[in-house]
Amino acid sequence: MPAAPHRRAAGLRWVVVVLGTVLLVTAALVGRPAWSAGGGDGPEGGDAGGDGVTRVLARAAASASVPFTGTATSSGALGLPDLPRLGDVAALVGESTRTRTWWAGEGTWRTDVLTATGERGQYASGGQLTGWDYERDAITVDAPLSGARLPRASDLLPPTLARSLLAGATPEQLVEQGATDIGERVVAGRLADGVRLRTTPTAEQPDASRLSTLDHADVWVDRATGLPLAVDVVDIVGGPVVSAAFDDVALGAPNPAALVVPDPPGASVRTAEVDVAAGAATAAPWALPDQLAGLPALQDPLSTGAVAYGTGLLRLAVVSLPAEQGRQALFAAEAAGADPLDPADDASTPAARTALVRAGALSAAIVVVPDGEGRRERRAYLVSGAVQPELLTRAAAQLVTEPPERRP
Amino acid sequence: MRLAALTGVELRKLALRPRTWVSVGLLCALPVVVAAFLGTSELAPRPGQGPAFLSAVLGNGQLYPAAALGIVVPIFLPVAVCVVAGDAIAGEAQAGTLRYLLVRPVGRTRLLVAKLFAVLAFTLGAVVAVALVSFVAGTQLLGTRPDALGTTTASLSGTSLSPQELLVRTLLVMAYVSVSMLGVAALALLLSTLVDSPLVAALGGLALLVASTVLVGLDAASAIHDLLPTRYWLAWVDLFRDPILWTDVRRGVLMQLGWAGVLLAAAWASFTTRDITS
Amino acid sequence: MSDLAVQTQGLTKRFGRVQAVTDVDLRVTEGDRYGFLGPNGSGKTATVRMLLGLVLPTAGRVRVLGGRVPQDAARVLPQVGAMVEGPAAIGHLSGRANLRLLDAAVPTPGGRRTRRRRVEDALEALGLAQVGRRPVRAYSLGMRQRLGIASALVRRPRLLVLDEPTNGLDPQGIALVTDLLLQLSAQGTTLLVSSHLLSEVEHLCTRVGVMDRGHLVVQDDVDALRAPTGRLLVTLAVRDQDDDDGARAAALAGQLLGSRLLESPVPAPDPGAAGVRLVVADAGDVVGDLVRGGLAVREAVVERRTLTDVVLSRTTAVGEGMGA
Repeated sequence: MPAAPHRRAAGLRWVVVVLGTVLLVTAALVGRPAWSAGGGDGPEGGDAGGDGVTRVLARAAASASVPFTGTATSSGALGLPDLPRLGDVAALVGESTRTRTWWAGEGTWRTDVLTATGERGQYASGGQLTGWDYERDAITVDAPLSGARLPRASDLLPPTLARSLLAGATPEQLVEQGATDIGERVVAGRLADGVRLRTTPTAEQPDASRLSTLDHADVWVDRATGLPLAVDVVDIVGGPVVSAAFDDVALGAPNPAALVVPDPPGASVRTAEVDVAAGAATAAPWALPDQLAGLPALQDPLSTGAVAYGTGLLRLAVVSLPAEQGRQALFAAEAAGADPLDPADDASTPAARTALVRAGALSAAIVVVPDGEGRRERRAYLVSGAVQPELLTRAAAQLVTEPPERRP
Repeated sequence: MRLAALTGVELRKLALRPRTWVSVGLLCALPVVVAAFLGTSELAPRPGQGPAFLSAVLGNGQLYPAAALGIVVPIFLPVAVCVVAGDAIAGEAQAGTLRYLLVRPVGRTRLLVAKLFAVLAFTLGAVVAVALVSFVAGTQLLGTRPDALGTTTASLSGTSLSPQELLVRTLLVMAYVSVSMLGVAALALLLSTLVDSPLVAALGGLALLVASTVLVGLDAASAIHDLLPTRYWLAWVDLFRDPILWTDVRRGVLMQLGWAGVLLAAAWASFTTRDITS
Repeated sequence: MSDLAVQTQGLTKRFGRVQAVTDVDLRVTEGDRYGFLGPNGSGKTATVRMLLGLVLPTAGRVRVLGGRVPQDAARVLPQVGAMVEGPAAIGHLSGRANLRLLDAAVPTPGGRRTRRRRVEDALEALGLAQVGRRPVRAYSLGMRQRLGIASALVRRPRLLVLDEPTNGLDPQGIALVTDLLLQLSAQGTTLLVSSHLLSEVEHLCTRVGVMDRGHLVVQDDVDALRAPTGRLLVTLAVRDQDDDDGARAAALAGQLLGSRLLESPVPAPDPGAAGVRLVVADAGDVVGDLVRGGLAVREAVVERRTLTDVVLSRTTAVGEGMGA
């Protein structure tokens, strides 16, 4: 008995359906293959060892002028408590944030934090930063664009995050610290060269890798324009610290209409709140040293009370706090169960009271130096970074023992 | 020509069915009830909580059609669509009318396509009905701002939308919400060709909805988020940003088309090769 | 052969492990009134569904009105009217609305008016024209059955496939439907009526096929099946059953007929008048011989088998749903 011909047709139908499904699922999960990515005709990079890495890093560091429009997702794994005057820092470094950015240049851009039910926009222009919060129906004005401040959404864009990682060291220095080529990858449909930054010991920092809590940071740089497209910072236990990547990006000048600060009818207008860092930066009476624990300052210590020190991935942030505020922070930390910094080694921080707070890869110490014994007035510092407590202890010891200069 | 005639017949069947009107009525009733409570209490959800726009519609009822669609999108609209789609073939099979349609003879592929059109028409009709009813409810119960005549409505980005822009964006939301229903509708339709119980088929579509919603909320499942049909359901909000953020809307449409394509192809392969024993 | 309305070759259907239909060669000539018989579960319905393209054969070929099924279904099925496993309709609509919707599902030549008249004609033929707007939900079983037949008739088919057409009908309904079917047959419509009611088929059909456990065990003209068996059933009139008269008549008949008498005479079963029953080989002038021998012949009948006999002798699953 011959098999009925329509049976074969039925089998064929299923084969067509299954094949189509496999293709679709593959396309959805894998995304566009490398060969279809744009930007492949740009300068060669990535494959030439040290020279290629240097060139990629140099282009990434100089990418602030590359205009783009895009959406990005950043996420942090730092569980910070929700504290007053911290703005939305806790959310920025502890959760996933979706942003949409129009970038015309370093001083002219707009970054919206997208939420399911609204939008928080920041508009930079003319040295000012204007904020718009849809759900509060409020415009925030008069925030300075530059100067010491807490992180904001635009700091976690892949290009800005990458540039801040690269700041404070030349590409050559970074290569010396162990930056290596990690091949190429497609990010948001564009071909990117990868560089892995490491904390390899160098002549200046012989114990760099021991002092950092970070293992490495991967930076993916658009081959055509040098714009960093993705950043992943990973700690020594292999966990993500912070990562950011474009979901979608278009190179070229953004639509100027999108950069116009909105004037919504009926919205309230507020003056920007001064955040902790900015407040300290202007109010701190004492200047910080030019070098701390062997790390160079990245800002001029005479101009601000909040200074970052370091090179490559090894970074320390120090804020000179008003003494009373420092004492309150110390008490709060002690009440929450914080231990003193390096209790075994009292000699390094004689007479100072310290408290150590750790959150994932991040460590922070509050240091309060009391009056008396011929020293100058009471002082207080917040020292923090993705570093081991040992480095904080060294920094604290130097801050306590070296008499500071008064700021002009 | 033959397909058009059959689609016409299917639409007539849908329209002659009391249940169709009951479900559309219930869909429209929910936003009206919400508007009534909002209008009398003037207590909107706190920012960041509750459905999008509900805090904004208090001052401006013209925004309410979009907010109302946002209210029905997560559950009510897909339930109604699944019930209709699940009934498409299985309902005919259960009633015994399927065999009479097929020996008429209505081609199986043609019947499936006509049923799909009827489901789409129902979805679109329900969305239009919700939008129209909630526009009336919004403007009557919530009122418009005194200065509202002119250019007053704010987009999510704070820019002003003229009434024309608002209309265009509301229409886009309606289209997007309708397209968003394709995935679950196609699954219910597929199941409808596999089982003889419309209830089972509708529940299958809803199971996908619930599973997808749970997985989208689960970071551990992020590897398959790009496959989940509800992933971009809330992206209609992006149509009220300025400029419109098309990324997720585009992905959402592609996602729905992908799901619908796969499931409808499976439905076609299943239905055209299946023994009709009901 | 082009004059075959239905022809199957080696038609076989398995549902999973269940062998529903095995190697069935059905032949229905155009103009036939074909009775398709078999107990429930014999494979009748599966076969009918395969003829209509609802069920796809595991093996074998189906030709209906010269076209292959399911491949040419779109061409041939418009000329087929069918009712399979009971009527079905949308409950909240009227019978008329149901027929109109079903008719509109596949466009046909002729305008809306033609279509409406066709529907009215079918309703009229089944006595449903006056029912009005009552929803089918409120119909009686018999009305639904008639609506199902009307639905099959709307297209004025060349081939009418009806499954249990008189199911649920009252006697008037049965008469109406039987008359209608005979009338349609006279106009040239080929009928394929599946049933488990033998008497219905016997009255209506010219040809029968009998299914048993998935096999087609009988397929023949009713006349051939009911051809004389070659025996005569003769009843002799006697004065008194219990008297010697009966025994004498029996003995005389035995002398007169010789070897033509096939069985021992018995008293006639007729209780009204005394008599003797003879079973005789139909050879020569049996009645003449008896009469000339001085016996009174009250009745002489040529023996024919009933359809019931045929079916029961050929099927194994007797009694399960088969009745005369």
